[in-house]
Amino acid sequence: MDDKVPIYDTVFMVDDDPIVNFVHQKIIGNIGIVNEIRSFIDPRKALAELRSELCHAGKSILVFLDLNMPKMSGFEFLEFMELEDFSLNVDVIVVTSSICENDRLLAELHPRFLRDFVTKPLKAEDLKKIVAYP
Amino acid sequence: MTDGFEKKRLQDLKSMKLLDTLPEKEYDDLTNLAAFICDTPISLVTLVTNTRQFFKSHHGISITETPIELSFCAHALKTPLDVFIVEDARNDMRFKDNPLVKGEPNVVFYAGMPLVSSEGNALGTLCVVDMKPRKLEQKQLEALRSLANQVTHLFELRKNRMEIERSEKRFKGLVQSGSDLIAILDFEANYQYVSPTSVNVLGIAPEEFVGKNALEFIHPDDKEAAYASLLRLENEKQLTLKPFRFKHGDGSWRWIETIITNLTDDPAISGLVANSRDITTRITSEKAIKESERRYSDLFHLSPQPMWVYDIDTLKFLDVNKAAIKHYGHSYEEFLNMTIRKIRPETEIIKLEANLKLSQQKEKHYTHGEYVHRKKNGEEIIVDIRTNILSYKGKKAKVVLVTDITERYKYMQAMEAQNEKLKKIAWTQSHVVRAPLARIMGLIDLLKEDSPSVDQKEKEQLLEHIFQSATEFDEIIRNIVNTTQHSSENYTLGE
Repeated sequence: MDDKVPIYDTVFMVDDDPIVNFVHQKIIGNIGIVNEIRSFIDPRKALAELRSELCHAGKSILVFLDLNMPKMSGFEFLEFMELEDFSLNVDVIVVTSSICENDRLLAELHPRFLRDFVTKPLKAEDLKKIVAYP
Repeated sequence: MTDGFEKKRLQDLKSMKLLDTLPEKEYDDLTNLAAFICDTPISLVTLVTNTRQFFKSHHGISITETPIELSFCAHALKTPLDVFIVEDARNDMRFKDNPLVKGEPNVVFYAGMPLVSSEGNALGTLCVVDMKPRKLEQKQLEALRSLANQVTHLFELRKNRMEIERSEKRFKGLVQSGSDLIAILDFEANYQYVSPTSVNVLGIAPEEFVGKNALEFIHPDDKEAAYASLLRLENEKQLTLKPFRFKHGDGSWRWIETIITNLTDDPAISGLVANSRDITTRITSEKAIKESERRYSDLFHLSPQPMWVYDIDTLKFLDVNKAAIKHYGHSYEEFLNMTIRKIRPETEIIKLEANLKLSQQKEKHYTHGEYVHRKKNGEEIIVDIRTNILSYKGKKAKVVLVTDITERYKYMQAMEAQNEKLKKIAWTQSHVVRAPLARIMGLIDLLKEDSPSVDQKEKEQLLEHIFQSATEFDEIIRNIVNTTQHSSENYTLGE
C-alpha cells in the first residue's frame, strides 16, 4: 500500500441504489483510507448530514456522488454546496453510470469540490490513484 | 495708325493673296486707263506691306516693287479717303532726297488714291507718276477715284472667288471621302450621279452605277417598300427610308439607311439626292440585343420560382412574374401599385429598413438572405431571397429570386425537435440503462477480488444482486424498445 494515501475522516456515499453503495463500501473498506463510512440513498439527507458535520472544524470528508437520482440530482447537490459555500475540506468524486461527455463538463463547473469524475463501475485501482494525488 | 489697326490691315492684305502674283489684264487695263486720263507716263496699282510696296500692275515702269522707305504710297495711306498729291517732289521736304526722285525714274509728280477694302483697310493705291511738275484737274481726280474703286472691286471679286473655291473644295472633300454615299436619282430611281465614296460604302465604283436603277441592287424583300417611299417624294421634300438590304460589290447584303431629299426644283441638281450609310453593324447588334432581351424576359416570366423587379429608390414593384402572382395571391396590377413593404409582416419592417440602409451604403450587387414574407391572404412564409442590381427601363432596380423555404424550414424544425428527443433518449440510456450494467460489473469485480472481507454468505448475496440487476437490465431494454417504436410512430403521425 502507498505511503502517501491520505486519510479522510469520513466518507459519504450518496447513491439511490443501495447495491452500489454496498459495492463501494466494500472497495473503500479494502483500501482502508477512512475512519467512518456513511451511505445515503437520499441525497437530501446526505446534504443535511454534511452540513452538520462541517460544524466540526478541520474534519475532512470525501463524497461519492451519483448524478441521476430521483429526489435530487448530483448536479443540484453540487450547486447547493456552492450556494452554501461549503468548506474546502470536502472533496467530491462523481461516480456515475453516464458515459455522456456533457455530464463530465457540467460536473467540472464545480472545481472547488470536484476531485474526479469516474464512470461506473468504480474500481479499487482507480480509487487508489485518485486519492493518492490530492 | 495703332499697331492693332496695322496688324489687321496686314492680315487683310495677306488674305487677298495678291502679293507677288503675276500681272493680270484686269488691273493692267485700269492702270493703262489711269495713265491715259491723267496724261502721265506711269501708273501703278501698289500694295503696301510693313517692309515694301508691291506693284500688282505697273504701267510705264519695269520694276515690280520698292522698299517701304522709298514709298510715296505709304504716305498716301495715312489719308485713306483722299487722294494724296505731290506736285513737285524736288521741293518737298519729305521726298527731295528720295533716290526715286534724285535718280531713275526721277519722280517729280505723284497722285495716289488709296485702295480701301470692304473691311475698311487701305491696302495700297492706284497712283499716277510723272517726271515733271503737274496739276490734275477736278475731272481727272474724280476719274482716278472711280478707277481706284474699280480696283477695289477687283479685290472683292477675287476674295469671293477664293471663298467659293474653298467651299467647293470642302464640299467635294466631304462627298468624296466621307463615309456617306451620295447619289442623285430621278423619280424612276435611275442613277444620275454617284459619289466616289461608293467604293468604300458598297464596294462598287461610281461609274458602274451610271445607267442603272437603284432598285436592281435592293433585296427583293425590301424592294417594294423602297419604291413606295420614292413615290411619296412627289409630295414630300425629304424622307428617311426604312433600312433596306443593298447588294455589296462582294455579293453580301448590307443594311443601308437612306435619307432622300427632293431637289428636282434645284436647277443645279434637278433630281433626288440620296444620302446613304451602312448600318449593318447597328442592325445586327440591335437584333442580337432584342434576341437576348427576349430570352431573359422568358427566363423571368416562365421561371417556376417567384421573381420580381423593384425600384431601389421608391421600392415599387416594376415587374413580377406569373409564379409570384400565383404564389403571393396579388394580381399583376396590384403588385405594380405596391411597394415591397406590403409583402412583409409588420414585425419584419424594421429589419427591412435596416437592410435597405445597409445596401444603400454598401452598393453590394449580389445579396442573399432569409426573410419572412406575407401573402395576400395573410399567411406568412419563410423565403430564401437572392437579389442583384440591374437597370430596368432606365431606373436603378433590383431583380429578386424567391425560394419558398417554409416547408423546408418546418421540416428542419421537426428534425431539430427529433434530434433533441434523441439526445434525451441517449442521456437516459447513459444513466438508466448503464446503471444496472455498471452495478453488475462492480459486483463481479468484488467477487473476483476474492478479498477476505467477502465471506461465503456475502458471496451468495452478491450473486443474488447480480441476478436482480440482470433482470432489471432486461426490463429496461424491453421498455426502451417499446418507447422508441412508439415515439417514431408519433413522429410519422406528426408529420
